[in-house]
Amino acid sequence: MKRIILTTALTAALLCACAKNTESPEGPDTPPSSQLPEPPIEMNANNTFAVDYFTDLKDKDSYFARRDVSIAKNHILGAEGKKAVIFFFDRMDFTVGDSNPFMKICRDNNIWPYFVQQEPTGMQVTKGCGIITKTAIADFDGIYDSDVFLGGADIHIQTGIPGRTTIYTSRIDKMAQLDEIFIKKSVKLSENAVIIGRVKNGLEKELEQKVASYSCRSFISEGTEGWSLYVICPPEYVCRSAESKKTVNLDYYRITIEKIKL
Amino acid sequence: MTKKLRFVTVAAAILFCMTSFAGDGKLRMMSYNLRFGEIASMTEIGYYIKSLDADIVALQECDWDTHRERAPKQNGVKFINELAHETGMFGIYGKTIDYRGGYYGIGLLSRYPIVRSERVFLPNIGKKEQRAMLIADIQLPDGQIITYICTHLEVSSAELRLEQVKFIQKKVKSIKNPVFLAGDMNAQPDSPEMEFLRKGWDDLTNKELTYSTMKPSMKIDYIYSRKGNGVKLIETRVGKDKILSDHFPVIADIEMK
Repeated sequence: MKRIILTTALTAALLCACAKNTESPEGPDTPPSSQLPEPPIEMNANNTFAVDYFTDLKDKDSYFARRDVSIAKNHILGAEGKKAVIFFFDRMDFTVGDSNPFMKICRDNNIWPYFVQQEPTGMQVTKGCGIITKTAIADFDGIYDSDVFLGGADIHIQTGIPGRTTIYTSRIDKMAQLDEIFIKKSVKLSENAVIIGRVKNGLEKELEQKVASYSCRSFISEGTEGWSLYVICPPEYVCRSAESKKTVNLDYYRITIEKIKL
Repeated sequence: MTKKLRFVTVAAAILFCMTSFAGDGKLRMMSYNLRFGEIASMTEIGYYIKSLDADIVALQECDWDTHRERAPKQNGVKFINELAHETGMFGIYGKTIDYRGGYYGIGLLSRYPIVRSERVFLPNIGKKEQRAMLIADIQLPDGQIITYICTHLEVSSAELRLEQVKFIQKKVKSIKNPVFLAGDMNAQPDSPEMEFLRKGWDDLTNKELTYSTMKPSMKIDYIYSRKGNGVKLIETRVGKDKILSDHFPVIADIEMK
């Protein structure tokens, strides 16, 4: 009897020890994030700004390959366009020497076009994202490193919390690209820069974790075939929504971002 | 279409595509003072720039939505957007001052994408017209990034111009890319300002006069390559085939080693 009890106890102890050992070790690959304070539950509309992001999230061809630029022009210059501080067109491909549909929106109008490439410069065609701002930009910031492309405009946004914000875009199809961006732009991303762009399907969860590990906030919209829309914000900003909308027959997302005081 | 004609067409198309940048490091650089469009429209200037097949163009006296009595046909025109549209190039603008309902400043056109750009004001002792430098990092098809800077120096004070070039020299110290500086320097080659620049830069232009187009008497437009860029000058000239401004453009074909 004593032997049975002893054997049972030993077996139980052994089993417990093995159970402990088969558990995977604690600790994620990315460093644990410091807990960001939660943003206020109630949004303060006075401290928000909107970004209109025109995309079908498919990356099959240039956004205006089969769409009417005049609709986009009317949107930007009309009542709806007044609500946004900046406009993105993803994808926008440039062909060397050809007048681009994007320029057709901008010429003759008091708006300013910029281009953020999403691949190395091509001999004839370069894929990218077009940006239109409503004010002259003194500082257009960007990085290019191997397959990491980031670009954006530093603009003054009129909200209840004054200050400048850099609104970047970058197409993410590998997590290593995000690491590179955070290494190079760590200060701006912790203070007053947001990134809006497309992330490849399947990487959304990793992006959220990665961004949290850098003590920033993220927002992912539901994706379509291939890509999801993402927003990365510093601690004192929060993306409240990315509403899917249409202007006539052009799809876009109205992204609402709030500046908050922690 | 006959076989021969088809072959010639395809060969010509390939050759055309390779004209300005054959992937072997050749670039055509240009600098052009536009005289705020007083003499020619942006359509004419854009057509001319396109015909020259320039890869990167520095522009001075570039208006945005101004209303000048001296250039009524350009009233309301956004020069850089128009030129970008006409040439099919990327365009960026460096506003220097508010003027006549719009802006006055400098600009830059590039055949290749601009990764980053920055307008930096130059020293302005004595409250003269504010001047600036427009810095652009451009990614070439071979993956290299170069920095092209456009500027338009002070017109009335040699002392201030010297301060401005010293400032530019200091500003570019931290730039690791090959750097080029182009613009209307408002100074002749034998001036102290240009002598100072030549200590750190190679002049990619020749001695041909660039101002004025009506009565050429001065050379004040330049394209410089920072020493150590490893650049070979293939050909340089002044564009005298058209009069579209009170300045002639300067053009330099280079090879990056």
